[in-house]
Amino acid sequence: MFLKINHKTKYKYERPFLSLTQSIKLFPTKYRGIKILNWDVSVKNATIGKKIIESNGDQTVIAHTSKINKNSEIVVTGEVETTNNNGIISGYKENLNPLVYLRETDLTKSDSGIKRFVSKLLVKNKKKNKLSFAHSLNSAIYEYIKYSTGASEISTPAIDIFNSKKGVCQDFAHLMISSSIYAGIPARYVVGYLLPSDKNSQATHAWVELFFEDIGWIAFDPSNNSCTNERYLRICSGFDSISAAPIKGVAIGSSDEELDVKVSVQQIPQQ
Amino acid sequence: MIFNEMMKEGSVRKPYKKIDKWIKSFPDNSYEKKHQEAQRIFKRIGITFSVYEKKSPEERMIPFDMVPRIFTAKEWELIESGIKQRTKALNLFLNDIYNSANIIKEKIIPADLVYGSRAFESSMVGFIPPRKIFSHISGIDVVRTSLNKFVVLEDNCRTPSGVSYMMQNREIMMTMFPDLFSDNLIESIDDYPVNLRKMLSSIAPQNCKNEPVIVVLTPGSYNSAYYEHSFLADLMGVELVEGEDLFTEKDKVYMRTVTGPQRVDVIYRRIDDHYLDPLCFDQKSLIGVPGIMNAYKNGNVTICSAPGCGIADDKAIYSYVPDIIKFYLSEKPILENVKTWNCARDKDLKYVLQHIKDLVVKEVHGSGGHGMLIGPKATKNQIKKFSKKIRNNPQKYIAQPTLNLSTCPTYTSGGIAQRHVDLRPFCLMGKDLNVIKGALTRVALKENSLIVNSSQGGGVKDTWVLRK
Repeated sequence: MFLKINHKTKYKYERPFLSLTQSIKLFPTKYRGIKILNWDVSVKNATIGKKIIESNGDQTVIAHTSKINKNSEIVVTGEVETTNNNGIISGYKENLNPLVYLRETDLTKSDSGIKRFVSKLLVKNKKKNKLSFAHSLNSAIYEYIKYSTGASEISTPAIDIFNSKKGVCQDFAHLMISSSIYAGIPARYVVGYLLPSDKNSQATHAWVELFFEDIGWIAFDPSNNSCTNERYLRICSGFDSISAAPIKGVAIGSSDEELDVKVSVQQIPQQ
Repeated sequence: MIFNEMMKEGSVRKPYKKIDKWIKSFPDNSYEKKHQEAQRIFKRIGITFSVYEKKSPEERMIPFDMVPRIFTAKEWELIESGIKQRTKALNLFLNDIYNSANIIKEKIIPADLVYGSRAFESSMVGFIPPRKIFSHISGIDVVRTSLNKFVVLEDNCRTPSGVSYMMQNREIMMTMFPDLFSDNLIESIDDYPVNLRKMLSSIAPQNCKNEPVIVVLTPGSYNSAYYEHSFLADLMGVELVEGEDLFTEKDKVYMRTVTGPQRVDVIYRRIDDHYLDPLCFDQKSLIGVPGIMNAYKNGNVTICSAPGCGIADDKAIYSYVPDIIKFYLSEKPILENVKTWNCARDKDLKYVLQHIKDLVVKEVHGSGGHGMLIGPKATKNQIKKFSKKIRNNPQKYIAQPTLNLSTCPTYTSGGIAQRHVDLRPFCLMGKDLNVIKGALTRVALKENSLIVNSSQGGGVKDTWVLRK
């Protein structure tokens, strides 16, 4: 499938900043089945440093602007060819041992409620392997949380989501990570693009990857009850939504900012 | 048996003979006067130490004890070679676990102990710092338990503090008692700042062609060791900066100066990993430098010590240091380890809970003598409460037997008396590896107390290494 991405992120600061430094990870992940035809990241008024490859394979650049300004704009355009890998991430170069992803963060900590939820599933899948457990966990979370915008915030932890049973893709992902870690399966948070299936769905998306010793990383999307396929384009990952954030910024001399994001992912004819 | 550093079988040990005479030469009461004078000098210089407590942060002075602690050249050789061995091994360990991880593949150290620790900085994996050195400055805490036995209490691989006290203690002694330094042949410690600067220069990035520009990065004047940060910057002749004085552009680090931006090559940072770069670590950090990690990874600046080197002084890793030394150096450890029970292991946990009355229990990530239990000194109720804490979170605790720390003569209100001491020698590792011939001796000022931490009321002493 050929996908075209247009992604504009505008920050409008309340007061002009003296300088702004941002880390930007908006580059597609290279792995088997993904072909990057063209990709460009530009930042208005900023100088951009050299790209580094992080230990987890993320690609990061630092953009810096020292011009006094109220606005910042990051524009991403690109075209890629994707194939359906059924969630299997192969041929991806990274140095990090998957065991680090058994670490919890404030957002992925589990409590007795989550632990009971996972334990029940583990009992049900007693005779099956870890991978089938993961599939049933994915479905169970899909069933458990009602997708609703505005019910959670950027830093709502999995424990709260488990109690409110409401949230967006980020919250599905956090609960899935929290549950997997409790079940002893390394899990991480993934950020990327998704070709929307209808007008109402989002083009930026978050899902998870779970690690299995005999297979490697497999990408699950608990908010769609599926594994990832050719509609998904992986960007970057982390322990949770905060560590995986594709844009982080520090503005000196200013405080509150307004965010305006315009993103489109379209299927285009063969190139 | 407690080793008395000055006395042996009723007579004074050789290295202490002249000091013994010197102590006895004080007319009645004049010692108290001198003691007061020393404290006044400390106050005038402004050496303080703040103690983090729930109440408002409080600045305290570390009490200075005038009776020096003395090592012979031979004794020091043993300590020095042991410290060098340990520092070398721990750096090889750090470079290994952040790259090929052979020690884990060979199953010398359990993988989950390393990868599960918060001190293991995952973003450093795959990165090789200049000269493959992660921990450039170590301050390994050593205690003496007999004439020839020195035991390592803990490794400090991040940014150990205390070196400024070592230097000030010497300065004050030389000011107050210049004669002592002509009567005794004592190794000088004056060259520490020069050596520190040399070491920092030697780890500059490869692409730095000129004399490297070095800065000391401090969290600011509210930090407990701020005095030391400014002291070291001053003696090295480099700038003391805070995060906001630095910025990055195109992956290079610059310092704001009155004449415009000045490129920085080496940063001796005295702020924790966590706060170093808000774009890489804690986004809420206000004391870091955004973008500094990318500059570092692109080879445009060196950070001393490397982020993530705390895994080497993690108390859970400590018990494996003898294996680490054997694995990388094929040598026998020169300095011993204290027997350590890791409560994360079921067998150890059981032992600790059964013998807690005789043990010292510490938090794996604690420091400064906080969050620990000294079994023999604890009340029944304290033991009960602490046992519950251990049972709830066993992986958070380790336990060790109580050690007989050696004693040194120390001034007390009741005259000269024996007090327990420990030792923090400082080791620099860059192009060269050297241990300064002197150290910080911390002394527990309360009778029989084994807690020497300054945050818990311990004092300090000048520490002499006698020349051959």
